[in-house]
Amino acid sequence: MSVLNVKNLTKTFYSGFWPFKQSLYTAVNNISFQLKKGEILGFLGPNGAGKTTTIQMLLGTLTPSSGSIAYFGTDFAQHRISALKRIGYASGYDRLPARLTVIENLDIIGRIYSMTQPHRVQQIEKLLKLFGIGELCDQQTGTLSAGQTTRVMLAKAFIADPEIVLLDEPTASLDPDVAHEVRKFILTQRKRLNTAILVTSHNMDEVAELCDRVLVLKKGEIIADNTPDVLARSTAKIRLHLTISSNMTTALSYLNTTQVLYTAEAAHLTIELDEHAIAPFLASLSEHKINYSAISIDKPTLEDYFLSIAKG
Amino acid sequence: MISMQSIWAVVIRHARMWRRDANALLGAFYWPFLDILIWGFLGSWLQQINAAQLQHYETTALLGVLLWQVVGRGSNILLNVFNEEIWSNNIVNFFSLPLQIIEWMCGIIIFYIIMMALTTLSCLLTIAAFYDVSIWHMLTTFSIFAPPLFFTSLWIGFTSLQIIVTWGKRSVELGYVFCWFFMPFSGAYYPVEVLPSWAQKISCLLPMSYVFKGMRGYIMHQKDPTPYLIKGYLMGILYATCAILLFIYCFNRSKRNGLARLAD
Repeated sequence: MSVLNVKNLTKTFYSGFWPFKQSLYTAVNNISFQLKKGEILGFLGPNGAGKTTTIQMLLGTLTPSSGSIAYFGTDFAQHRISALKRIGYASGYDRLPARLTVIENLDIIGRIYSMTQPHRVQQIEKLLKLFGIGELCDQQTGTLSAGQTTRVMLAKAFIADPEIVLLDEPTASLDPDVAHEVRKFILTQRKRLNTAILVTSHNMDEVAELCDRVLVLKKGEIIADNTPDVLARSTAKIRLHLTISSNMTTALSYLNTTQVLYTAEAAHLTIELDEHAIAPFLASLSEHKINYSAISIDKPTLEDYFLSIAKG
Repeated sequence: MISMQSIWAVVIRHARMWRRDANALLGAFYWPFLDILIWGFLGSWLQQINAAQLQHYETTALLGVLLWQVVGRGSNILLNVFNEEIWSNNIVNFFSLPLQIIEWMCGIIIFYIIMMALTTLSCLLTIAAFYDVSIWHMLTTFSIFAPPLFFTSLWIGFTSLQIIVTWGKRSVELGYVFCWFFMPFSGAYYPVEVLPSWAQKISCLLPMSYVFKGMRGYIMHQKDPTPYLIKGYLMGILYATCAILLFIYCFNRSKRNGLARLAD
């Protein structure tokens, strides 16, 4: 069941005023996608791809030029507040009022979500403990480190047990161990409450670990929509590392007769191959009496895919 | 060893801002200009009247200051609370919560009333400490004339906020300039009759000029202020309603370019 349905969403920015209005650029161009209940959907793309613009339209802080957004089957433009009551949001770019303490900030947010006082206290306590920031509750948010602020923002996103959470670069500036805890929490939250999560990130490992599905944006358009694993394999080849123990010259001569891409350094060869071509390639090496003393295989990662689309 | 080059670097660091942000320069001319107008017109008026007419001037001047706080300080409070969200980089965060714009507006108006109550109390205590005037008389007179000025401050405050939600952080100085733009024409410290005729035409359009005129007549000549209060109320409510509706329109229109842009 889809909890978010985006159809033909477009955002064009203009400069000047009527009648001298001029189109500057289209940040998001006719994108359509769905987010299912309990699904974790990744938004991937280089800077300027339109990820944050899309999230802002999904929050209603930016009006789309055309297209529609429907949460829980109802039009967002018509029922913005009732939809936002069921949505949590955190961004690595936003901050909370600096002179209020962590607990004061979260209390205000809980009130806006119409949470009762006991529920607020219980949720704040639980989330602060979960994100390891319980001891910071009376500290002003302006005095927190970037990592601590990110954790407070995540607590804010999950405070009302939302059915959908929109996360814009959620683990930016977190230490790897804390980022791991956050990812664990996101997965637990999904399992516990079947929360649907839309996450943008530059951390490829994170996207691969968290997301069931990834939407790849480039210049405002969705250029791919698939699982992280399929995307990783779609452009990058497997890298086969061999340490040649004899006949390096023969090995190089043989490689030159084939179509494969390779690099050679001393006795070490790195060859790029499709997964299905590995076994025949190794067999042909023994036919040519080329022996190797060590072998390792690097599978393509989402980062390889990301780099390929960023370059392309 | 003091480096002249370093000192000059500090000077141009600030001067270069002016080239790209005219608002930063605005304050350098505007506030002295405002002072010249206010104190100049006050001086002209004092010179024109005789000593007998100045019998209750101390109370009038102090009430003028107190009542102007409702207009000037009040509209500043409305501006400050929105600027606070901009400077905290909390705009997108805050307005992505299930908070209706009308709820936010009601919230800041209540906060403004609380702040004004505190300001009035502190002003009255200061007056009691330094001047030989009846505080009870001040308070009762203030209670008569402050309510129509409350609506005027909503008009000015929400109009200033329209500037900020349209042009963002860079227009903050312009917002404050707008709050104080009407001060010389409002007749808070002197009758508007002392102004040049073109300025008196502006005064005619300002609800607070009637309230201050009524207050001055009431204190200095024991005249009935009701006709002035009615004008002040009607114009104030009309202007405030228009400003609030326009603010809601500008806020929603601002979303076309995104609220995140306001903090840039």
